[in-house]
Amino acid sequence: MPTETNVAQGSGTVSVTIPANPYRMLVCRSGGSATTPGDEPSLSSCVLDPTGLNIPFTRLGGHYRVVSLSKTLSEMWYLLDPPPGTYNCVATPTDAGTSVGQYYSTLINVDTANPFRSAIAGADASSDAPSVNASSMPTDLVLDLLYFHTVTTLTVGAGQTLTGTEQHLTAGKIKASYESGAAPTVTMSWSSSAANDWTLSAVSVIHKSDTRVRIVKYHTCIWDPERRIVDQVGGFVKPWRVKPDNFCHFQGRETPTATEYSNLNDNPAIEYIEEVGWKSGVSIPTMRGNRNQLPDVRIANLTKRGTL
Amino acid sequence: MANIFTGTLEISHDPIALWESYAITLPPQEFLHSPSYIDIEGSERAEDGFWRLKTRIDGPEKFIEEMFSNGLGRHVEARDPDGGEPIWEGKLFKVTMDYGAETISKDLTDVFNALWIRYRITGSTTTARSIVYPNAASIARYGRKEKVLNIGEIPHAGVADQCAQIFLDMIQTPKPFPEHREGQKMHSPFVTIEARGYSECWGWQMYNQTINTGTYTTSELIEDVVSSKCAYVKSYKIDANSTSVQEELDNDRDAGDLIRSCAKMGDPSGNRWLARMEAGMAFRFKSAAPATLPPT
Repeated sequence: MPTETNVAQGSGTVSVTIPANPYRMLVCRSGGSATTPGDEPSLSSCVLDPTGLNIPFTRLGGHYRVVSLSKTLSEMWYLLDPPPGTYNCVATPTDAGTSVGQYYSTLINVDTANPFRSAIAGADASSDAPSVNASSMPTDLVLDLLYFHTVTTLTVGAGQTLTGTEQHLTAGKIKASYESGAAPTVTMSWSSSAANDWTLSAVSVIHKSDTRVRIVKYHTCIWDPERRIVDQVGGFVKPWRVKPDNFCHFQGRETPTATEYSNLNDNPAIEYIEEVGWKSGVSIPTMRGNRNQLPDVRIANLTKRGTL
Repeated sequence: MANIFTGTLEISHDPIALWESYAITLPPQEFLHSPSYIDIEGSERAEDGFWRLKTRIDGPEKFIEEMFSNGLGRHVEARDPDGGEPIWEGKLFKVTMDYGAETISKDLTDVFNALWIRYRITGSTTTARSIVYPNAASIARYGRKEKVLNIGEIPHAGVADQCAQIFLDMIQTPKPFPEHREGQKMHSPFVTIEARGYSECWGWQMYNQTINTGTYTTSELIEDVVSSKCAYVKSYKIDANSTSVQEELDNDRDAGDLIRSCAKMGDPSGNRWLARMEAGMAFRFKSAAPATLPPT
């Protein structure tokens, strides 16, 4: 499974050291609250080395809890293949009056082509037992971030390992942890000495050697950047009209055993189409693609599975 | 069933060698026409363009035999019934006549009709080339297809010349290759054809620039190579790529190898470039499609 390393935490500007591992991903888990009506506790941006490299993180997703006029949030951002070295990471809140904190950690041995098992899972409630289920497989690493809306004693669930130390914010605290993956879900849980509002998000990170997600179905659109044609593969396009040197936009992926769209990925990927094949009697093309137009980088055999 | 291929397959004479005049349009077998094709499959690549096409042709025995005898090198096009440009275009490279228990095939890949040999005279430190031995009849039939052999050190140049002539005599025409299939019954013959895109013909001739005249751009080199050595290119569009290459190529590299090497170098901004054949035997050298966001 991926390994978490080089943890750093804080608020605003945080110094982060990134190791030189070829399958690395920098993750920022951010959480906090906004007590002024209309204010957002989310980040508007998260940037690695804004005065130099200036590489923005991508927002993976998050989960809100709205109680009365206050809003709490637990969210995650990520950066694939960040340059090794020590840099400042700057997280900018959407609204200046909010209180948010961040955990940065570098995950190594990540499948950087398909880093996440599914969309971020979130839960919220007012109780003393925060819990959320994240879709997972045995070689995954599951990350979570809890925002608890009071400063109370929080105990991490069984099997989970704390990431960094707890951070006290204006109205509550955040804590992060990770746990080994398991099929089909992993429950990330916490217990508190007193009940209050909480929001918890979790996601599974895929190991670099896991080939199960590399069967990709192409219920997707294909577009041609030059001619701006959008079509649906399998439904409306003749297979021989699907052309290489174009892109596929994948809306879903699944394990080889699945036959339905049961495990969609909400973070769609694009693939450059290297080769298209067609044959009489078959209404779908076979395709071979790669990402980022890198020659000889083959990350997926694109085959149709199930029913469109 | 709207996506099932019901287009036509058009086979015509070699558009460059022009040793015959031939054209036939084949419908799919479902149309109850004879001759017709059945089980067609094709492919296309970002690099090279049209790649492979394979199909079986059924028809009267005389027609099948004629296709087996004369088919190699013919131009092949697949067309969508909706019209427009050919959806696949290329050259017939392999033909197999199938009687069930017996098959016999011929392959253009194994044919060469202009050959020379690289060698060194024992004790010398410089590489020399033999005379170029062409076979006019084979060139007129299949187009010029060069091959270079290297035989290392030899006592005198005459050895290389003799080797070149002997080897050329062996490979200037396609050789029928029979096969017996145990347990199969004999039936009336059909023919299976395998065609390749015209990018396969880029490598049919060698490109040498023996004098070092400085540098020029990748686009200039490719234009020089395509216009002088790629007979099966009817037109070309070469976009400007300023990647610099040395203007000396004296290693008997085939034109296809050079074209693909130039494409792999990309451009000075690190963008990927493609060399490919498009409909109408048109050569295209261009940057790969940019990874733009999909339209909404």
